Amino acid sequence: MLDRASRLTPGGLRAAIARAVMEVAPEKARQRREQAAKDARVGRWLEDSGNAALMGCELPPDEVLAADQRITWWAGELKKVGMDGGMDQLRARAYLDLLLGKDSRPCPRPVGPQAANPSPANPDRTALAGWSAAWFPPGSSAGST
Amino acid sequence: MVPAGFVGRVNLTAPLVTLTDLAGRPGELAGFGPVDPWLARDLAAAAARNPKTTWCVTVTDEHGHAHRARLRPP
Repeated sequence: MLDRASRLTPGGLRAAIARAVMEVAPEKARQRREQAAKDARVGRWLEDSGNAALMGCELPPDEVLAADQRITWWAGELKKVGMDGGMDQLRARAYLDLLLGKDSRPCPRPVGPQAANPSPANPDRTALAGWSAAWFPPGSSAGST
Repeated sequence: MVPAGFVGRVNLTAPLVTLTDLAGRPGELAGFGPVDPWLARDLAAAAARNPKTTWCVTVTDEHGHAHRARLRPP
């Protein structure tokens, strides 16, 4: 591996080292993965900008790949209807759509209560409020952890 | 709600000796990197249960260079 290290990208070198370690001690690699999976978690924090971050760690790699593909697929659907932003922004929007069960595509003809009383100022939050009401039954402490 | 209509695809490359439990060499998840042999076997077993899975057998030389590849139906 060392003879080709200079030709590898940083990511390629990292993968080559991981592969070499697995070749030498596959059982250790398995134990490390299974032990780390017990620390699977989702974290959220406020960023310096005032926006927020949401990240999952120690997740099954195949499901992460499939989830990432799903995010890209939905971002593509958002792009098709002409939503603003590059793919990074659209993927971030798609990420939230998928987690919150939302569809951020502009609706040509609003239906339901929003049609009679549209809320152009912030349609996203209106949709979120509707979702929260649906998710948390009346009387429950919606949004608390 | 986000409508249905998405099918994801995960590409796993694994040595035959790993899949047949004759050796413990790592596999590779495209887009990620190496995976330990147990995870490679688990993923291959899960893929084998999915009728939409496609298989590609690649013959390599002793240096790991591919010589022939053939797509097989599930």
